[in-house]
Amino acid sequence: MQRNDSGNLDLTRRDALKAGGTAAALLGLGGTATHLTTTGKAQSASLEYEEVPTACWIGKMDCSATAKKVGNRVVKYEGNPDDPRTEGSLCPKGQAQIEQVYNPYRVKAPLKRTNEKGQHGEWQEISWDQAMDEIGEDLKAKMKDDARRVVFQVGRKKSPQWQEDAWVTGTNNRYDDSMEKYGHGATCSDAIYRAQELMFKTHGGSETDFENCEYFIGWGHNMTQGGGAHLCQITWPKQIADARDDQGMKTVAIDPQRRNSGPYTDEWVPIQPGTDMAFWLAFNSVLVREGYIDEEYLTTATNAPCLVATEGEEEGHILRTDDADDPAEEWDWADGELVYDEEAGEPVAHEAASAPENVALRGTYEVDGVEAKPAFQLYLDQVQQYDPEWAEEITDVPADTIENVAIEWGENAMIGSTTVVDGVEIPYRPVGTHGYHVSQEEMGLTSSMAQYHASQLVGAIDVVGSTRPRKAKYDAPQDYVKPFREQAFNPEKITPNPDGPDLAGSMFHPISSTGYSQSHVSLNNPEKYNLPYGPDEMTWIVQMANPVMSAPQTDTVIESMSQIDNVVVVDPWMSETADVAGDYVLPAATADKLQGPTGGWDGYADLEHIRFPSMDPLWNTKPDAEIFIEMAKAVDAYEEYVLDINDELGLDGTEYAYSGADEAPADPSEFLRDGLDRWARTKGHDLEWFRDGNVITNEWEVGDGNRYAYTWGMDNDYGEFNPYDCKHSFYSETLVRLGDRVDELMAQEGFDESDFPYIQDYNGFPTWRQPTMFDSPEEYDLTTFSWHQIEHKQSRSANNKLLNEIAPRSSIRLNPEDAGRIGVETGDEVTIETHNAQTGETYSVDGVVMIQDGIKPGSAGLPGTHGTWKDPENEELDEGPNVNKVFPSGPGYIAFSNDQSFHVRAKVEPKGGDN
Amino acid sequence: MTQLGMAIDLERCYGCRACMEACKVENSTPRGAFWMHVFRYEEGEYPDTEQTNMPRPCQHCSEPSCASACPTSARFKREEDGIVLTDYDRCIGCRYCEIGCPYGVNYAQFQHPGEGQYGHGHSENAGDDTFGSGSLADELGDENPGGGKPPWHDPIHDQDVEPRGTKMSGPQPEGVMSKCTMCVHRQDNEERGEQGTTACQQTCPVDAIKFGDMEDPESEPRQHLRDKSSSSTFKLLEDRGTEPNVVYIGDEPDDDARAIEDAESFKDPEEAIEIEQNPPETLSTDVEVKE
Repeated sequence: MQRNDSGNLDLTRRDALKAGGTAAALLGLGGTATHLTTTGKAQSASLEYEEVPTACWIGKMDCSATAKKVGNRVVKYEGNPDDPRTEGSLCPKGQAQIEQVYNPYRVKAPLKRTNEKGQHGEWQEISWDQAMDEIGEDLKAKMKDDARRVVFQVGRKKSPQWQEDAWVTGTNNRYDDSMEKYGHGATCSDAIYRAQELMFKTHGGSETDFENCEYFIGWGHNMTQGGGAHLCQITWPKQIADARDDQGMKTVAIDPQRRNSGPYTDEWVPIQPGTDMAFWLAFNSVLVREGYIDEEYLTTATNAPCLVATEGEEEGHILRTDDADDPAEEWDWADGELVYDEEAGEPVAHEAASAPENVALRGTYEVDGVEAKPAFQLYLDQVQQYDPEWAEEITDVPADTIENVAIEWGENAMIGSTTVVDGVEIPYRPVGTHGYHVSQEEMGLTSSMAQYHASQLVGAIDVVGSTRPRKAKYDAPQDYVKPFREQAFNPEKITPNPDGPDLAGSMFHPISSTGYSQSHVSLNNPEKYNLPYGPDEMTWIVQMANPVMSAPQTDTVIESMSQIDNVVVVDPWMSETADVAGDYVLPAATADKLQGPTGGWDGYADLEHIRFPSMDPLWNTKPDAEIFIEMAKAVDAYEEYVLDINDELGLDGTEYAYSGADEAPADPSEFLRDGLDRWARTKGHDLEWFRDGNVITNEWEVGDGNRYAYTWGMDNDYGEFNPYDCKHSFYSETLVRLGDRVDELMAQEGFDESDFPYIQDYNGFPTWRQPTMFDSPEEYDLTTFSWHQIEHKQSRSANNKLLNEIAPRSSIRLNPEDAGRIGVETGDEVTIETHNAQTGETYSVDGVVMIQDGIKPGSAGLPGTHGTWKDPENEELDEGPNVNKVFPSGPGYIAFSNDQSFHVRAKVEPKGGDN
Repeated sequence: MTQLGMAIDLERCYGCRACMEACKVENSTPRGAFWMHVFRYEEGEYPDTEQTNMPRPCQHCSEPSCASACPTSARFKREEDGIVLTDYDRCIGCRYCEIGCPYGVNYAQFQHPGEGQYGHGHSENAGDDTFGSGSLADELGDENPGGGKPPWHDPIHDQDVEPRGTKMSGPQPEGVMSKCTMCVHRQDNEERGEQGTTACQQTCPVDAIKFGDMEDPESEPRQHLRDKSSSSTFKLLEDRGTEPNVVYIGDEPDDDARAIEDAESFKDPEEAIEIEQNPPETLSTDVEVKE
C-alpha cells in the first residue's frame, strides 16, 4: 500500500485480495463461482473477506464501486478511488443501496397476472420458460403484423447494449420493421438536450470547465443535486468546491429554492417558477446594451450573420446561393448560406467571405430584390423590448439584480482573450452555466435556448472556463439534429398521423423527447391523436421504468396502462406499474448481477468498467442482459441479436466479433460473460483483468476532441470559419420552418393554439408568452415546483428503508409569509390542490408543511419520489405524497418537444379546511 | 502522542448525508441511531438567507465529559490514539454519558436489537414467499449473521477491542449505550487495509471530512487547515471545557440559526418498527382508473 498525494493509504484491489488470504483463490469470474445456490442453503459459513469490483446500482452513473464481502454476503459498498468522477466516493443512495439488495419483497420468480388490470395485482408464479414462451408468442404476432404495436419503454439505462440496444435492434432487424422505443427524457431534462441539438449539433446536458471557471450561474438545483448527463450529484459539487477553493469561483443560483445549492451560492436569485425565459431574455438584453458581444464567435461559428429574408415567400428563411448544400443532408455546416461581406460590398456564401471581421452582423440589405437582414440584426430588433424592468414584473427578480448579474457575467467573460492549454491556443471565457432538470417547464426548450444565448453572446461555448453544451464523451458533432432539419426542409414528411402514442414526427411533435407522460394522454384519446393502434392492440415492455409512479399525471397513466393488451415489466420489485398494469413481471437482479460494459467521464478523463455481482442473483432473478438474451430467442431474433451485439460492444471489425448465433454460448449467462470478455479483449485486456479490480481510465488532452469543441474544426478546410466543425444556430430557422408546417396542418385538422398552446413557440428566437398556468384562477396563488431530493433517485429508491428513514416524505416547502397567511406551521398537515388551466381539472394530495426562509414567497416546493406502494411495508413507511398526482400532463403542460412541465398553480390549505 | 480527530470543511459540505448512511451501514446501527449526523440549517430572513450543513460525529474530546460522568468507566478515552470508546461488556445503560455530553452523540438501545434493524432482525420476514417462492433466510442460509444483526453486518465488529479485549465496536447490545467510534474497527485491523480512514471521511464526495492525528502537523486535517488558513474556524461548545478534537472550517452558526430537514423530519423509529413487526396484509392505496 502506498500513500497517495493526500497522504491517505492508497489501497489497491490487489492489496486487499492478498491481505484477504485465500478468499481470492476461490474466486473465478463473477457469476461462475456460485456462492449462493438458489435451491437451498449456502456453502459453509466462511468469514473470509473479499472485495468484488462492481458498480453502484441505485443511481444513474454506475459509479465504480467495491463490494466488501464477508463469506457470501456483501456487507458494504464503497467508492473506487480510480473513478475520476468520484475519486472513491458514493452518495447517500450508493451507501444505502445494500438494504435493497436484501429486500425480502423482491420479486423472486417470473409472475403472471391472474386478476383484471387497473387494480392491485394478484399473481401466479411461472417458470422463465413459460414466461418467455407466452411473451414470445405475443410479440412475434404483433411484430409480424405491425411493429408499431410494440413499445419498448426504458427508464434508466444501465448497460443498454444488451437490452434496449441489441434486443430492440435485433428484433427490428428480424422483422424488418421498427417497434416504438421510448425513454424517460420528457420527465427528466430532455428539453435542454433538444435545445443543444438544435443550437450546437451536439447532445447531452451542460457541463462546465470548472477547473478554469471564474463565474458560474447555476440555473435550477443542478449545482449540487441535479447533475448532468452521466454526472449525477457527486461530480459537480466536487468540481465546484474545488473551483471555489482553488480559484475563488463565484456562483449565482437562480432557483426558487436556496437549499439545493447550499453553501456554494454567493448570490441567491429567487425566481418565480416558470418565468426563466423572461429572466434570460432580459439578461441578454443587458449584454447587448452593454456591448458584451463576441463578434468573432458569432461570425465564424454561428448563423448569426446569415441573411434572413424579412418579406416575401422566404420570410424567416436563411437565403442561400443557388448551389448551396442541402441544409438537411449537410446538417453540420451546409455551404452556401449568404452573409453580407462589407469589404466585397455584396452577399456571399458564409465560408467564402473575405474575413470574419468583414462579415456583417447588423444592417438591412437586399438579395435579389428581397429585403434581408443578418439574423443578429433581427435579434437586436427583438431583444431590446425584454429589458430588466419588464422582466422584474414577471420573474419577481429585481431589475437591478438582473442588470448586475448580467454585467458581472459580461465582465468575467473576458471577450477577446485566449489562453494556451496543452499547446493549443483557445479562447478564454471563464463563465459557465448549467441547467438540467429545470428545462422541464412549459417553455423549457426555448427557455434553454435563451439561456444558451447568454453564453453565445459572449462566445463562452466549449472554450476554456466555459460551458460545454454536450456530453463531454463526444469528440465531434452529433447528428441528433438531422431528423429535425430533414423535417424542417422537407415539410411534407410531417403529417397529422403519428406512428405511436408519443406522437413523434407528426404534426403534434415533429421534435419529440418521446412521451413519457404524453403517451398516456394519447392512449386515452386515440382518435384525437390519430393513433394507428389503440392500447388494447399494443404490447409494452417496461424496462427499469415506472410510469405509474414517475410520470405525471398519475391517474392518466394508470388509466392508459390498464388498457394495454400486454404489459411486460422487467424490475426487481413489484413496481407500481407492474402492480396496476403488468401482465408479466420478470424479476431483474439488482447489484447482485453481472452487467456491462459501463463507464463515464468527468470532463477531464473517462473510465470504463464492469459491474461484477456482489453476490449471485438472489432467488430466481436474473441479470437484465440474460433476460433479454432469452427474449431474443423467444421472438426468433437470436441470430440478429448476436450480430447486433457485435455492434453494441464494438466487436465489429475485430477478431472478437461473433460470426453468428452458433458462436455465442448457448447459456445466456455464459454468453454474457463471453461477450464481456470479448469486449475486454478489444481493450487489450480480458474479463479477468477487470475482475481483479482494474478499470480503464484515460486522461483527456486538449486537441484530442473531448475537451473544448472549439478544437474540432482545427484541421477542416474552412480557414478562420467553422472552428467547431459545425455551424451553431443562434437563429433557429429549423423552428421557423417546422412551425409553418405545424400551423398549416393544425389548421387543416381543426386545431389551434387553444388546443395546443405550445404551437406558439416555434420561433426563430425565444419569444416570451404567458405560460398556460397563468390562466388558472387567482385562488391558486402559489406556483408549485419540484425536484428530487438528494436522498432519493426516482421510484427505485423509494422502498429503501435507510433512505426512507432520513427522507420519509415529500414535505411541502413554504416561505414563512405564505405559511403565516395560510395559518400553518412546520409539521402541520395540509392539502395542496392544483389547477389544470387547459382543462379546468383539479387534483389534490395531502402532505406536511416545512417552512423555510430559503423558499421564494408565492411558490410551493414539492419534491418527487414518494407515495409508493411496492409492498405493504413500503406503502406504510412512505409518507408520501406523490407529486405526480398533482402535475397535469398533456397540452398546456408540455413543450412542443413533448417535454413535461413540472410547474402548476396551486393552493394550500390546512387539512380539513381552515381553522 | 496521537489524538485522532477531524477537520470538517463547511465551505465544501453540501449536506448530502452520504456520511450518515456510510456510518450506518458500516456499523450496522439500528433505527434512529445516527453516530454521524448532519445538521442542515438556515440563517437570515428571506431573501438574505444562507443555508449551511454541518456533519457532527462524536468529537472524541480530550476532556470527555461523558467519560467523567460514567459510573463504571465503561466510557473511556483510549490512550494510544485518543478515541473515546464504550465498553459494551461493562456499560449498564444508565445514560449518564448522554446527559454529560453536550453534543448529543449518544444513543441508548432499549429495543431488542433485532427490532431496530429495518425489518431484518428476525429469522422470518413478511416478504417471504411473496412475489414468488423463497425467503431471505433461505438465501442467506448459514451466512445469516443472526442475533438481530442485519444482513450487512460485518463480523469485524464482533472482535475484541484493545486495550480491554472486550466488545466496543458495531451495534450495541440491548440496554447499552453507543456512539461514533471513529471506526475503531478500521484503525485496529491492518488486514482490511483501511487504517487511517473512517467510513464517513471515505465516502464524502467533496472531501469535506479530513481524518487523522490532530497532533501531527503533516496529517490530513492539519494540512487542510493550513490550506484553508484564510477561512475562519471554530469548535463546538468550546466553553464547556470538553476540548473537542473536531475543528470546523467556515463560519460559526449565528444565534438565529434554524434547523431545517432535521432529525425531527426523519422517520419515527417506533412507528417504523411497529409497521415492520405488524405489516398490513394487503396494499391500501386506492388505484383510481378514470372512466
